[in-house]
Amino acid sequence: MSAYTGKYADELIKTANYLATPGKGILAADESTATIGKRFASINVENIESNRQAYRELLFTAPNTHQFFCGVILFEETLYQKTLGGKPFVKLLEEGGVVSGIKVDKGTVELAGTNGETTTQGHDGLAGRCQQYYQAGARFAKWRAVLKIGLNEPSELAIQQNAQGLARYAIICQENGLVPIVEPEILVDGSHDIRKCAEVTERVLAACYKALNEQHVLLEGTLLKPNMVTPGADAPKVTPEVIAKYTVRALQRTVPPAVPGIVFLSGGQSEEEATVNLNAMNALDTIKPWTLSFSYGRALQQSVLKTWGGDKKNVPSAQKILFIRGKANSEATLGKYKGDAASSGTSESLYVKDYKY
Amino acid sequence: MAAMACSSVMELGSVTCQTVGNASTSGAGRSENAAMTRSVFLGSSSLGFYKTAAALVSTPQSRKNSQNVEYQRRQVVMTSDFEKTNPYAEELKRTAAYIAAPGKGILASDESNATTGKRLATVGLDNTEENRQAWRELLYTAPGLGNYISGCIMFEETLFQSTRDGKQFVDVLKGQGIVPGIKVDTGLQPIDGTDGETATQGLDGLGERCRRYYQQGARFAKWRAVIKVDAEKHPSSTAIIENAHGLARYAQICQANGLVPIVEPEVTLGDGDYSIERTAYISERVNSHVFRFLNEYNVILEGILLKPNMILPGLDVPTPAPEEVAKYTVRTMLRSIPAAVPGIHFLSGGMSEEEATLNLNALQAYGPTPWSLTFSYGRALQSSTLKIWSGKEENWNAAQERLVALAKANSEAQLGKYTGPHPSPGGTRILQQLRLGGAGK
Repeated sequence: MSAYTGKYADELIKTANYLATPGKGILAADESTATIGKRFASINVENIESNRQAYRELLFTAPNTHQFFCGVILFEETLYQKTLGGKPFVKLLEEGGVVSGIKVDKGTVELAGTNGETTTQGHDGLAGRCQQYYQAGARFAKWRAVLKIGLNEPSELAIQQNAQGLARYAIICQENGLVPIVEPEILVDGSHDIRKCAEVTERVLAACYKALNEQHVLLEGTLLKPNMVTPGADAPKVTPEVIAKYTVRALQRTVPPAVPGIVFLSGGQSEEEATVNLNAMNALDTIKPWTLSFSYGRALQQSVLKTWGGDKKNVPSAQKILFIRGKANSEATLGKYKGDAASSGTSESLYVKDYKY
Repeated sequence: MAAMACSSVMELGSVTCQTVGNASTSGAGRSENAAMTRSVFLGSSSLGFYKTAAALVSTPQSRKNSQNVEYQRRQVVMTSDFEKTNPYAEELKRTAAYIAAPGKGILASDESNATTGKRLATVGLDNTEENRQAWRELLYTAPGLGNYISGCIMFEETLFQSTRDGKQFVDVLKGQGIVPGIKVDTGLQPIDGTDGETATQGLDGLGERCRRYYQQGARFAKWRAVIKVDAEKHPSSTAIIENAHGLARYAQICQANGLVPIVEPEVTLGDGDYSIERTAYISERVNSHVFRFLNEYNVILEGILLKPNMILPGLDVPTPAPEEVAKYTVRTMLRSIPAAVPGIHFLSGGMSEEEATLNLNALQAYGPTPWSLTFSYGRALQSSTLKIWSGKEENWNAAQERLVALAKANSEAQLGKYTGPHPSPGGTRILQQLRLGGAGK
């Protein structure tokens, strides 16, 4: 009896290590059909399959960007889509050294008796789906648990439920060959200060790793996708260095060194903020036994989407923006970002209250 | 607040307080690996708790206005509130970092009077206070001990004892640059309904005792939880939870009263042929519970030390090679110990003196690690020392030399530089029966 040592153990460790390569990160392009519909609506593009296919082809064929991404998270539909030329996206990405991942949760549901707290569903039939996704070429998975900070939140119930849900998902993935990205997102909504966010993050992560141990999850074959530790959206801002210190300290206190990589979510941060904060963490001179990198959705795509606007002739310039953001974040993982990718639009906050996707 | 924290630091050496924000180099640390240098923010100083002229203390937080204090009372107090309100927070972190310094380890000489009596009996000595005092004087006055030992755990009686010349033991140790520590648990009790599993007692009045020990000069404490392991049935969930809870509660109380808690969840070396994988798995599981509870109880991890067992199979399995022990031990630590903990001080728990050194040395090949991998040895530093002394004045110097030679060997092992020959080569496992029902006497 120990951590998972089944037939996929070595492959899981190799994949997880690759996904933690310094200088690279993950492009989160796993918006569900409904969510991508919301994005398209903001640029007046119809939410039909051909548009979804066109948009993702834009992302995955952007020239010279594969060097910045060790992985891309996909939604189920996208996993099976192809380029207009007929090449499966998974194959295209693989050729560029980009591993395909797959979102496997089925969204959140409210926990009765709480003040709007949720748990995440998706365990039913998960093993079978993982096997199918593995067949289709996916090698990692993602499951988003959501917690919020309030006067009495997160409650012990919410913490336990979400931690258990993540751990159960994680072991099922590993048994079926997929590296699980463990994502316990604590929403930025609220007016709490950064200290409070640190307390809650530490509490939640400690519970998560306890649950992962209970379920015999092989930590060397996982990644963590946490929020950065920041003040609430309605609280006064602090500098990237302060964010970096509180974030790294919270991780030092809770994430075992066996985990190869921590890939932050961007939450509601603007594209530039997300890069600058990641850079500050990597520039911090302290103990960091795991790689600190990115798994950004909005913070990589917002300007790309706007520039594209659904128009074919905008594709090259939109792709150029992906290159710029990809490069900036790649430098940030090495603590070497100089701020030269900042431009109009990239400082726009992407915060959406009570974000659901 | 800053002034209070400084004056509570021991008087030896000049300690000046600077506010955080000076990006001063924290000196030694693991200078051979820049990636491992601790930041100012974590408040480390491995240059010497006693000798450093630049102890870094955070600026005291201004008192919240009454409205905010009211708001706080309605919430559960969490880690960083405890850090804000605990006047010892920075001192705890500094002490822990000092004890976990490279090339140093802990001398565990905290045997209760009853256990000490058993040891003295092996060399024909009576269990009198005079003999116990003489034995500890031999240990603490050994010349040069402080080059290799950064902390010494004592039993309560010893903390208040002096040399024959009347010098307090705590002063002797401080003079050597060794931090005095104190065993605070009061022994093991059986957990009813289990098959020979134990809980550790000592929480009653612990706060009060900690304050007394702090007054006397102790700056760290130790509490030993014992987990019995076999191939299938042990430990039970009950035993794990009970011991993890005890450790976390003890740690919280110590930190509130200025003592760095050494957290010791010993998965004890026992009879049977259970495999090294089994020990590894159980140790991971125990550690996971312990750290979950430490988090729950708001213990400041930068201000603790861990004292775990190395990963060994049951006694009926042939002794594994140091490399195998090292591989499983480091893997277990990587899987369960957060980076914020400054030092992991392995117990010797029955390993022979040479085995303890060889295994410690082998661990270092699996570095660099975020926490130092070092020692807190009792039997592995004292067994042959005691034999050489045997209570005879004429053997005093030779016994002290043996102690320091053993400490030096383990210091070299901590740096991964031990080459031998060992001061006590060969040797069999040094086992002891678990004592039950002790009330710390």
